[in-house]
Amino acid sequence: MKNLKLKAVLMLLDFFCPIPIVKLRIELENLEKGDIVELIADDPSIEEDLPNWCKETGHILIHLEKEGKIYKGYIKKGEK
Amino acid sequence: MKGMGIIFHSGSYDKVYYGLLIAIAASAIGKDVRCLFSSDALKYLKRENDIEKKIDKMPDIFELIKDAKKIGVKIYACTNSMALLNIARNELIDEVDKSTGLTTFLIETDDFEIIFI
Repeated sequence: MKNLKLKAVLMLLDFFCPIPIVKLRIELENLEKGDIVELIADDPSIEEDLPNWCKETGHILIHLEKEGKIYKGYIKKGEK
Repeated sequence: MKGMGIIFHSGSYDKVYYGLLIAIAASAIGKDVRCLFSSDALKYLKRENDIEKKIDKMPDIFELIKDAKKIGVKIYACTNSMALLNIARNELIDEVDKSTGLTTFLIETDDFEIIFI
């Protein structure tokens, strides 16, 4: 995912459900459609919540990966 | 999507905390969320209070209220509880949208799910 042009990086280690999703939502509100955010978190619920939240709200989850206990998600802002 | 009305009644920190997590999670998925703080929960809306601050990296109640406001959650103070506890509007934090009665709150949240905490 090194070739993605990121508009913001959200470092959310030690923050647990639903804070990472809420911080992402707040961040996306300040951005334009098509902007990409990297979210770094160690909350295990991200694995399920991030894809479901993106599907529900119309944002695009480009990629979600796990390295050890750390999740990295790449989210492109959708219409909303 | 159905809205969510949350009535905070208990003054217990963990109950108010989890109630606010429900509020922000519901708002993050697009629900219209309105919270009414009454009775013992009203102390969390006061500017001056003796409530213990956080112990870990998670936001405390006051930071959660700020985050909630950023994503559109409405925060109301119960007018009746304010009178009973002798709390004036200017003693409440700026995040409070208005003070309102239970009747008006229930009219506003007519077709919402209601959660009582």
